Amino acid sequence: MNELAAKIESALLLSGRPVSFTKLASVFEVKAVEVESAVSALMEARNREDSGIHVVVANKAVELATNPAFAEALAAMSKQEVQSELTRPQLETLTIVAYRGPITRPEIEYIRGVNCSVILRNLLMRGLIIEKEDATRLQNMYSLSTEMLRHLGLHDVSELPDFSSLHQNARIQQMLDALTEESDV
Amino acid sequence: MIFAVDQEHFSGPLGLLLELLQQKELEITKVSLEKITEDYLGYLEANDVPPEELADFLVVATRLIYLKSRELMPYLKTAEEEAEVQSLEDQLRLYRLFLDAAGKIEEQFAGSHVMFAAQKPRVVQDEAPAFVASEAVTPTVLHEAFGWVLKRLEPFFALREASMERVKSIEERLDEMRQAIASRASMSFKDVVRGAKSKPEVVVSFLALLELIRRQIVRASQADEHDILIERL
Repeated sequence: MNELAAKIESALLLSGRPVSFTKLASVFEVKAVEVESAVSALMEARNREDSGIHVVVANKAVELATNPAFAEALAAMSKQEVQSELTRPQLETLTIVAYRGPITRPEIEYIRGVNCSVILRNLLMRGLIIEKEDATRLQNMYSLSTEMLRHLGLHDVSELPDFSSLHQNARIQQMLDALTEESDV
Repeated sequence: MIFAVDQEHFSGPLGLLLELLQQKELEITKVSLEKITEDYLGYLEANDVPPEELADFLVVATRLIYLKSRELMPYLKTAEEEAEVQSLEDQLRLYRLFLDAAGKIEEQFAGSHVMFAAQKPRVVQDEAPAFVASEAVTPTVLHEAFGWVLKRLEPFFALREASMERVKSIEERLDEMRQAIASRASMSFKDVVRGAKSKPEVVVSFLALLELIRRQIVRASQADEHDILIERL
């Protein structure tokens, strides 16, 4: 682990919440790409069975968390309420956001064939997803929150089961692109 | 006592289609979709679909009825319509992919792999008040912020209204047809759609006609090759 990675680790301990790559870059006066590679090094060093501290990355922000293997033992100590159940439509919507995020609402609605505004609002309020405005598409894009990733015990969305087959599926991309063209006309 | 009202009970029209296909052990094909059209419409009749989702359910209903109608009038097929059929099948397949993935996420969600984050230190009671507004917070700023919040809600309400309008159009059509048929003993489908401005409107009328038949208000028969005779019962 290089010095920048160690510095980042200290900063994360101090912060106790997700810190964006850009924030870290400005704090340590380095380029964003350097932060990205230092975070990868930190993840490699920490995300192991024999490490008590793990590192979670979502939406270009990084956070320290406990080792998922100790979840049961730590649950008693943590005040963080384990999320209650999800409804079927919430689960479906969350899955689409997880595999395809950042994704727009029309795209989610195309996949589910039904209006999702209420569900998205509920997921946002529970902090399971986040919403960001995309400057080029002028639309809100939804992605999984760091909190949700931690809840699933994942360090990064790429650890989702069959992630690449759904995330990079050419057929899905083609259909969603067709949808974008339609709405542009 | 708190009543939890679950507004999100339905998994949506595509979920319903997949379930119906599964019940009959059918693959996702055009022929299968035609076979379950009746079941789909029957389900809508028998269950109270939440009003804000009804439009989406009806859109799928019209697509199914459209599919069926094309079988009756094969000479009306165009390339554009072929693509439409393809897309309902594709959409279903795509939806099923994510449905399968959702199963795995559910296991993961229920499983005990939670990674806890640091807990924020609690503010000590004796310290300064928990909330101090910065000087930048003025009534004008708050006013602007609230305006922004309202603006963000606009699309949500606009969508609800749009969806209600779509539902209304089918219901209105239904009423119009019912009144028209009440004033005379019989009429033809051509009369009904004479004023139609678009293809969806014709489809909506056809859907309304099916609904009237289902409620046993009218009987329909083939008038000639190009028209349907509608008679009051």
